[in-house]
This record gives sequence, structure tokens and C-alpha cells, in this order.
Amino acid sequence: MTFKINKYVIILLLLVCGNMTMAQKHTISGVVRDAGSGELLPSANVYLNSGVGTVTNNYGFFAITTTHPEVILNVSYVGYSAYSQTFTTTKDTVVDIKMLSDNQIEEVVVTDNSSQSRLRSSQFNIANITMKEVSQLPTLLGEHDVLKAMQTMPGIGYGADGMTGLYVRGGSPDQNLILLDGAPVYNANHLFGFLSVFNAEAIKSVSVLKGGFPARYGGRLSSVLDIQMKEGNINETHGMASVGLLSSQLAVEGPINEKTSYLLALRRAYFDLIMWPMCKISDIRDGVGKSSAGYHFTDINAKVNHRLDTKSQIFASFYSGIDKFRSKSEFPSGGYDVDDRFRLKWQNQTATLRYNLTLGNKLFMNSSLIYSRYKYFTKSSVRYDYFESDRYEYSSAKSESALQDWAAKTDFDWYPTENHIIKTGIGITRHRFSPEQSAYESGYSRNASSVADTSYGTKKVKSVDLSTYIEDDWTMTKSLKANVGTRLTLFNVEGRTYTSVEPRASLCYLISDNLSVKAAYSKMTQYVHLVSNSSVGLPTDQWLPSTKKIKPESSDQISAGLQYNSPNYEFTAEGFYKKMNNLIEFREGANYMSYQNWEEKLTSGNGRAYGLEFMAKKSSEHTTGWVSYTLSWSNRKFAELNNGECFPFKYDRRHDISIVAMHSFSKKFDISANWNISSGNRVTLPIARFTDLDGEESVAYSKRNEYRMPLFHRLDVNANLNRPKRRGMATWTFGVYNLYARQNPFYIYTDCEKNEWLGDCRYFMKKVSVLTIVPTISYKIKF
Amino acid sequence: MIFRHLLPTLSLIALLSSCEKEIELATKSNKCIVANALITENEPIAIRIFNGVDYIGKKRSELLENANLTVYCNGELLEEINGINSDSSYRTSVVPKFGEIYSIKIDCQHYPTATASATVPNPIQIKVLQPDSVQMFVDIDGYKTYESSGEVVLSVTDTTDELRYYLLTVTGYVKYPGNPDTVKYRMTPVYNNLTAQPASLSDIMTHMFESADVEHVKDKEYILFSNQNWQGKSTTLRFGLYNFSEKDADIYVMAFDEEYYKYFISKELQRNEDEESLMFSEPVSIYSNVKNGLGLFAGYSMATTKLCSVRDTIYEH
Repeated sequence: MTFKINKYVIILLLLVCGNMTMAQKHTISGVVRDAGSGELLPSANVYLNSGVGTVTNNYGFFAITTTHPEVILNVSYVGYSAYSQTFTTTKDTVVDIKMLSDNQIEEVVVTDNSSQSRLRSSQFNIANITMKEVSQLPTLLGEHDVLKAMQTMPGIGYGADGMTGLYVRGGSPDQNLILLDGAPVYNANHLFGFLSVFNAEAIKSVSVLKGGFPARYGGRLSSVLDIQMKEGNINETHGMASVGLLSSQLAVEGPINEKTSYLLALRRAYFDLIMWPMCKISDIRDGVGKSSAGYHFTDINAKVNHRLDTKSQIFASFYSGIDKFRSKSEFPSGGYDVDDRFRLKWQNQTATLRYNLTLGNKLFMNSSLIYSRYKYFTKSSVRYDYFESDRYEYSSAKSESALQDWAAKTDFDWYPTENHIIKTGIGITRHRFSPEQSAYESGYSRNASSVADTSYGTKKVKSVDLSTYIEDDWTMTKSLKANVGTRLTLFNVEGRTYTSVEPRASLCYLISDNLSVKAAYSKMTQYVHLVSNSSVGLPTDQWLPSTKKIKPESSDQISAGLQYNSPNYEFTAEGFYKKMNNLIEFREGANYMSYQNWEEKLTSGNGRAYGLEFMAKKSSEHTTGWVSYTLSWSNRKFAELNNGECFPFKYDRRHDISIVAMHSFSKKFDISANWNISSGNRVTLPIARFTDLDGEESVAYSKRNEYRMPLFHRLDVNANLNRPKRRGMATWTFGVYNLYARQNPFYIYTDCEKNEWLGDCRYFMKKVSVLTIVPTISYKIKF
Repeated sequence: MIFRHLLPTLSLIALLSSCEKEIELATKSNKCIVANALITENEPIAIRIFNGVDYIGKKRSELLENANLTVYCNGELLEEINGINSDSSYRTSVVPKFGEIYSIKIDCQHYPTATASATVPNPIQIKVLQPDSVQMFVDIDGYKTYESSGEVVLSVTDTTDELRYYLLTVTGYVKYPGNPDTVKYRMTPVYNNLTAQPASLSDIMTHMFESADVEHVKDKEYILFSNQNWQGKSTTLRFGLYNFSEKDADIYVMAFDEEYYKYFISKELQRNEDEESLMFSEPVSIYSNVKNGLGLFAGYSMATTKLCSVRDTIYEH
């Protein structure tokens, strides 16, 4: 292992240092921000007339070194007018570039220059979607959802119909690293997976990396979903309020003083308010007892951004989301009263404290303290209170599971020469897993001493994750760029330390001004795993660490692609092959509901996925849209499953096509549509009935995931009516999710219909479909 | 004003937009031969042959009476049987012996030919140690109480170098007033959390509880264990015995190979499945070792001993 580490480090240093020229040069550095709000703009394309160029980092910072005394600095960013300024300088220069968005100027020709920067970037395998596009896409119940928007991109699939889970290049949802301002979000689901926790009103940018991962990212096998919250408008106060069928939102942002801005976004769903009258009507109709049930979720996004001086800035961001479901029924039965209650709650919390510092003109530092917690809790209880005696029976069962992370990390972006951007950093994360803590109480009288309390559960596990990386974004020639790097991780759990060296490399060769060819390799290691055997995002799914018994998952992925750009159009074609090791699955017959040590329920195996992805995108002033197609295979092989034979992954969709179109007829009216068609999920079906050794009728099932559900397809449409108001803009949104009421199977089950007279039974299969034609209406006002 | 009616209507549509519908998925035809037999030494091989039917539909799995059964021993033809016996089985005239490999081939018109093989495993040797450790509690009227319990210490000797599985059951006999017949019933043997156990027993228990497959048997009327750590050796097995009644009981230890073990476990897992859990877990198929068919053809041997010396205790209320 030592030999391997040394080898990789030496190779990297040779690559980096051997190519640095030490000639005297000067550097233009600074940040790019929105002129209206002061928001920093990540991934803006910054280039000189000499052809040297770069993109801003996640915090809007860039640095370009040049030897020319007079240069023209150009900056472009999608949705903004191009910025250009001439510099005559012989020394290092710091600039603060303010970009005008198309809303802030009268006439603007929107050209997607970011696609041009992507053409030249060695980083590919990336799915980008702007928040403007997210806000125009059709919605479910009026909720703009970044995860569902991402499902229209090639290589990113969904699980069951209507769910938010992302299945990236044959991987499972737990293989996605979802970062909200750098903090991992472990359960990104509201409403049992039908909505994501990310409030689009609080988000500035989102991108998904599917492969060719730079060394700065690690910890998951399949993707990195990087979501940045808005920093808050530094110039003036703005707000937004909306009312929809499912939830209402309120967002406010503005300056606290000239150096400090804030953002506060609140969202609350109100299924409970809808269900309350229903329960009351039911009670009145039945005339016996009382019942109530309700579900709601609440999101709070908050961020404060303070500029300490021209070179340093501090951010504090916070997210808390909670889902609550409860039901209660009280009714008399025979000689006693029954009180039956159920509660389910799950909660995500993240907090990030970040400090940015520019050291000199060439070094940018980002230090973060990160906290993340996910917890679920469920309790059910029943009480029988006898009318004419002291007899009283009570029993309750409660269960909870939690995962808590504390992390600290520091990253450096160093721009030593015009041809290199060196990124390096170190981070440490302390995880605390508390899986399956349960307690059972029962009693037979009102005397509390008679209550039996049995607490049981699996052990709490603590682990420490240490990582460091170095990468070089290297412009080798005018046509050839590379990103090479390596990541070293150590994971300590239960006295055992796992180490992993993860080399990463990606190359981009510019064949012509419009066409580039790219290739990448990356190795990833994952030390935390989601134990789940449902297709829905149940809160009871549990995150568990690698242990002495459960080895870390790892993957090796190679990918290659072509990108062609023409005015207003972008075409990409990518192929990938991913090999995954030490994947975990439930053993046959085991599920999260069985009371068994979680390590004993699991078995490990390998997987591989490969496929081709195509995308054609048009971006013009009034019309934006794309067509994406994925052809892929994803298989698994576990010694203890399917008799050791290879079997398809549950979400092995051979074909997946998305067609998205958005058109603005005017500033007052725009429409959008999204049509998705894909192969059905894989499923294991009962195929035969027979008399077994015990003389009983038994069922023989097909090989694991041998069959495919029927074709999935669905059309969603949306229309926005914008009405200028005296102090802002009001928007009515009308839409229909699943316009032609396609009954896509959510899951399939079997049943039998008994004929009491003949004594026989007819067996059949049924599909359960959800969300068949769901209309949407919402009202939003921006001020 | 328009929303006074529109909003509730839209909400209702959204809530009611789920549905379920019967579907047909094109699955392959699964008409096949089902062969079931457990063979043991000195008893004729008796095979029940059924047909397997497609899951969807009304057809039931039924006995196949016109099959041709060919039995081989160590690859050599032993017997051909056409037609079923009075107990609805295809029965051989010869009896199996320990260690021999018996193979069957079943032909039946309209069905693919099915084949299977099995061996009769060597029996385990068992002996009750500390026979007076089982207590029976009876109330003042002489009736057994629910708490009757005790500990059985059993010496078990494995006689093979191969992996074997063992199933231990205890049968009690009870006579009810007014009923001249003795009624047999299964008792509930369970592992106790005993200390100072022999190392070999710890090994058994470790294996038991480390294997997810058998964790669920703790509350069943049997103990399942393997010889993984004591092949060809002796060891001591201690277990609790609840709901003990009367003085006599028989302890049975059935030895079998991995084929029956897999069947046994898969059968238990499938029994535990219910409709709700299938949504959240992969279904379990009943294990079959019949090629081109379904069912199980496996061998076993049985060892038995009596548990008859019981220390009585009168429990007074």
C-alpha cells in the first residue's frame, strides 16, 4: 500500500511540477457575481483574447495568469450578457465582475456560453440544469423539484413512477453524494419519496457529476449532486410567496448591511389541513368515536453571507426539514375504550460554516465546518380502558434510527501558471450511526410500576473518515486539457482501518472549435451504505457504515464521449463502463422489518453497468429544450443470491428517453412539457405453483428480476401566466402531471380469488399505479 | 371566487388518482414435473410425482399417475417403475443404504424429463446426559403447570467428515382424563443462555446465531444446527425444554445434507412472507434440486433416544 501511495504521489508531482514555467507573469484574479443580487456565479466562463481561459470555482473565484501587458478579459454565463473589459497592466490585478442578467437589461442575446466552456473542459459526464429551467419544467402538485428535473438528463434514471430517487449509470440512490452547501443530505425525500427536500426558491445552482470525478469529490460510487444555496441579495430586499395544492412557501432575501446579506426560505405542506375535515366527516358519518390523521412537512433554509474584506468572506447556512405523520382513533368496543395511536417522523438537518480567503492573487482557500443529521422515529401505541373496573391494558412500540456527521475540511485552489489549476485539500468526518433502537412497553394496570419496558437494538457505531486529495486541471496544449489527481481516504471503524487510493484522470482533446473528444477514468470508494429494499424512499431505510464484516464498496469507471456545439445547439454522446465491488443487498427473505442484527441481514456481491448516453439541447431566446436517450445495462452478481448467477439490477432500464420543451411566447406567458418513455423496471415474479415435499402448495419464483414491468411513459405539461404588479410579478401556474392518465405500475402484487362453492382459487397479478393525472395550480408573487 | 369550487375538486382528483388493475405479464410456460421424496436407509424409496402449473390461472398441482420412473444407484440402473402405489407414490422394491448415491429420472408425456440425485447420510449418535435435570411442575391438583421446564444435556457424536445439518425435536406424550389414548405433541426446545459451556457447544451456537438463515428458528419447535466445527467428533448440546409434560419424551435428531437444509430454510422463509412484506423484499423460492423440474429428492437418517428420568416437583399455589 505504501508503495502504491508513493507511486501515485510522485507521478502526480512530476506531472504538475514538470510543466510549470517559472517566467515572470502577472495574474488577473477576482470574483464574478450577479450585478443585481451580488450572488457569486460558479462555473462562469472566463477567458482572455489570447485564448487562455478558465471557469470560476464554486465560490465565483477565478485567476488567470498572462504575460501580455494588454489583454481583453471576457466573461460569459448563461442567461447573462457577455462581459468584456480591456486591461493594460504589468502587475497582478484583482477584479470584481458584475454580470447583468437578461432580466436586468432591455435586449440581450442569450447564448449558452457555458456549453462552450464545457466543450473545452476536461470535465464531462456532467448534467447541468439551470434553476430557471427547473422553475419552468412541469411539476407534481406545483412543487419545483431539482431531483426530478435531473431525471430528464441522460444516464440519470428514476425508481418507481413519480419518485425522486436518482439511479445514476446503473447505481442505486445511496451511491449518490448529495451535497447541500457542502453538507451531505442523507434522506433527500419528502412525502415518502414523491418530493425532494430541496426548496427550489432557496437554490442557486445544481449539477450532477456521473463519472470522471475530480479528486476533490469522493465517498460515493455513482454520482455527486452539488447543490448551492443562494447567498441572499446584497443590494436590495426581495421576497417570494406562493400557495400551491400541496404547500405554501415564503422566501425573503436582502442586505443586513452593506457587507452582509441573508436568505430565509420556508415551506410547509398541509395535507393535515386537508385530512382534518375528512376525518371529521367520517366521524360524524360513523357516529362512533373520534379519529384524526395528518401528514405535513416543513422546510427551513437559511443563509447569512458576510464579506469581511475584499479578500475574505464568511457564510453560514442551515437547513432543517421535518416530515410528520400521525393518526389517532378513539372508540368504544365492548366493555372498554380503545385508544390507538401512530406517529412517524423523520428529519434532516444540515449546517455549514464556511470561510473563504484569497491568499495573494493565486491561492483561494475554503474552510468549512459541517454538520449533518438524519433521524427517524416511529411510535405506535394502543390502550384498552375498561369501563367498570380498574383494568387497563397498554402497549407501545417505538423505534428510531439516526446518523450524525461532524466534518471539517479545508480546500485550496492554486493558480500557479496559466496552464495549471491545482486543487488540494484535507477533510475529516466523524460519523455516528445509531441504527434500529427499539423499545417496547406494556402494562396491565394504571400503576406505573407494572409497566414493562424492554429496550433493545443494535449497537451504535462510530467511525472516522479522513480524506485528502490533489488534482491538477492542466492545459497541456491549446487543444489538449487534462484533469489528473488522486484521492486518499482512511476509514476507521470498530478498530479497523480501511484505506483507499483513488486515482482520477480525464482528458479533453479539441478536434475543432465545435467538436471535442473526451475520456476519463475514476475509482471511487464508499464507506456508508443505505439498507433499503423498497423502491420508495421510506424514512425507515437505514444508513450503515462499513464494519469488520461489511467491506467498503468500490467502483472503477471508464467513460468516453464526444461533444459538438453549434450556435444554440449542443450535442453530446457518452459511453461508460462501471464495475462495482462489495455492493450490499438483503439476503433472501430478509427485510428491514425483521428483528435481526442488521449485519446478518446483508450479503455482498459485485455489479457492473455499461451504456451509451445521447443528448441534444437547444437554447435560444424563446425556446429551450432537450432530447436525452440512454441505452444501458446494469447487472449484479452475489454468491448468496439467485443461486450465484448474474441477475439484472431492479432498475436496469434498457431504454430511457426524455423530451423536454420550454417556450416563452412573451414575458407574460410560457409553456413547457416533459415526455418520458422508458423500459419498465425489473421484477421477480411467481411463475409456478406446485405441491412441495410437505404436501403443501408452494410457489416457485422466476430468477431474480427476470421479468420486466410494462413500458413506462408519461407526459407532463405546465403553463405560467405572469402578471406584472406594482411591486413585482405575480405568476399563476397551471399544469397536469401525467396528462393522458397513463397507469404506470408502481408495484405489482399477486392475489387469489377464492370460489367458495367450487373450492378453487384463481390466481392473478395486479399492478398498482399512482399519480394518474394530477392537476396542479399554484400562485406565486415575487416582490 | 372560482377557486372556491376548483381547489377542493383538484385536491380530490389528486388524492383519488391512484388505482390498481389486473395485468397479464407474458411469462414463460412452467409446466413441469415435481418430484418429492426423502429417502433413508432400509426403507423403500417412495416418490410422489406431481405436475407444476403456471402461477396465473385456476389449475392445481396434481398427481401424475402415468410417469415412468427410473432409479439408479451409483450410476447403475436399479429399477424401473410405471404406476403408482396405493399411497399415491412411486415405490421401489429395493431399499437404500448409507453413503450410496441414488439418482432418479422421470419421464412423462407433455413434460420435460426431470432428474435428481441424493445420498442417505450417516446418522448421528445421541445420548442424554444428566437425565434428571428436567423438572415438571404440577399444581396441587396434580396438573402440569405452564412453567414446567428444565435443561437437557445431550451428547452428540458426528460420524462424517462432511458438512451435515441436524434438526432436533422433542415429542412428549400426554394422557388426558377420560381419554384412553396417549396424545403426542411437540415440545419447545430452546437454547438457554448458559455459561461455562464446552467450547464445542459455543461453536455450534456461534454458527447458529451468525447465520442469518437460521436466526428465526429460535422460537420454533426445533433446534437446527450443523457440524461445521465438529465434523467426525463428539460434542455436548444443552437446551431448555419448556411446556414439558408427563415423564416420557422422545428426542429425535434428524441428519440431512445441504439439499434438504436449503429446502427447509427456504420453506420457512416463504412461510414467513406475507403480502405486505413482498413489496419491500425479494420473494423466496422454495429450493429444488430437481433438474428440469421442481421438488426435492434428498436423504436423511434419524437418531432417537428417550428422555424418561424426570425430577418431579410439586408446586403449590
